[in-house]
Amino acid sequence: MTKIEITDLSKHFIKKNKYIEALQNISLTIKQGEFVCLLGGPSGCGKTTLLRILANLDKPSSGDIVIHQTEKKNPLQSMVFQENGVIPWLTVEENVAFGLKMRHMPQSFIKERTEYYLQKVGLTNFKHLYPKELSGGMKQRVSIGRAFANDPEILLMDEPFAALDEQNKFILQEELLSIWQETKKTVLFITHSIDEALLLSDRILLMSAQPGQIIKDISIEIERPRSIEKVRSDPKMTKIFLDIWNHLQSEVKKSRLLNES
Amino acid sequence: MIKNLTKISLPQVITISSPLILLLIWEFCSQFSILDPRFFPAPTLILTKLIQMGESGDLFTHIYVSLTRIIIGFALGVIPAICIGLLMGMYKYFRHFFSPIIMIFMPIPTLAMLPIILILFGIGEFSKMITIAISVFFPVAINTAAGVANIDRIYLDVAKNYHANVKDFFFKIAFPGALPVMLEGIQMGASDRITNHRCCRNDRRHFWDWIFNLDELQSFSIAGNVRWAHPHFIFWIFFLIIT
Repeated sequence: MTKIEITDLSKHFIKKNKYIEALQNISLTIKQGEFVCLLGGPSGCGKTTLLRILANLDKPSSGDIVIHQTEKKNPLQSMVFQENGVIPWLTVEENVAFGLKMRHMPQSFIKERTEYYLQKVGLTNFKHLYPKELSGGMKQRVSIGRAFANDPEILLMDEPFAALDEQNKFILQEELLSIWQETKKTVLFITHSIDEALLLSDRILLMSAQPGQIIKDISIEIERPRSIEKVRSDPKMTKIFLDIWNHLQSEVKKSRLLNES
Repeated sequence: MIKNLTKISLPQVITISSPLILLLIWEFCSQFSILDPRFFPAPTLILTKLIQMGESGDLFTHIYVSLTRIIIGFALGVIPAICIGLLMGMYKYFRHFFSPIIMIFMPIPTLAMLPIILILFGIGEFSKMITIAISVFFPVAINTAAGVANIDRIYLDVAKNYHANVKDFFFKIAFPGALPVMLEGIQMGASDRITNHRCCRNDRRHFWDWIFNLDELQSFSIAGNVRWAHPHFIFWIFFLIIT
């Protein structure tokens, strides 16, 4: 079943008197329950723009997006922001409950859902703390808990683990996978780590910069549950890794040439 | 642990000593008539008078009158200031509409507006409250607007993505987000308010006459940075009561 349909999506803007083609004629469909990673080398290649358009935070210049809604009462999308997306003047608990509160759900329902997801992301004991008392990893847990608790049709994640150290990153990736496997949400995840994309996704979309286009669509068919050791030791994965690596390398070179000229 | 709690640190001693030293100098100058004791009675004399007034109950009626004036005036200034400030921060049309008005009136010292206020509101209590209200209004309104404008964009995105309606946005994002900068405005307004309160008093039964009051205003303006939380504030309270 198709969940997200994007047809001929383009976005361009003018920045410092330079015309920038952030996205050009992007068409793609994402199935219900799919975990899709958007992978792109150079930053500013339009990944975030695409996500922001899906999150209804930016408007496309042309083209259409349709998110098929299965439950009428659910919100279309919830976003996990890069970092600092946790609201500093709300406690952990209030942050996780934020989406539900904004939608004015019944008190008892909010409480039950919040408790459940606090426990899922392992923050039950920290629920009365404020974000500044938490480590970076814990803050991202709050962010993830907030997005899942909101029970959206699709989840959008903008490099949620980019600012974390390696160990924390692995732990959070596995936690994310376990919550995802339970809820079977459709996820669109931005990253520039190939390892992360291989570990998490059913499908990797490789993006090029200026114009932002999807240049490769790779299915990852390693069985779940996955672990980083499994992904690293699988020869098929190594091949895909190198393939993507070479693609990104040429992308980086291309964009460097473009910037120099 | 307990020992640590009761111990007073050197910076604390220094902080406490500075107003005390000032009081000592004052006492000395007054006792030895270096300053005219008719205008600068010694702190000890003031203290005796204070106790006397406290015993007769006079002091409390005065404090009562002053406090109601300050509290009501403060509320009259702060509440509209926060509302307008939040609107200015949230909607650019409000900002464009209100900023010229605020820019015109803000630099005018409230006391310079006093004649106009007296004409408009008479010589009663109300015009004193209005004077206080006006002097709090500007710093609070401007700081609130700046506070909203300074909220990190990402929280606005979060609010939008999680479908916050206007009311929730106002109370959950704009207000708490602007609060730190807003409070700075309130602090600034508060110190201004003391000045204006001093000048609005009509019972000059003591040594100060009106002209001298205006003079004294200058020194109060210099001390305009007094913060509520500051230890010196106690000193200013003292000052307020004795005059």
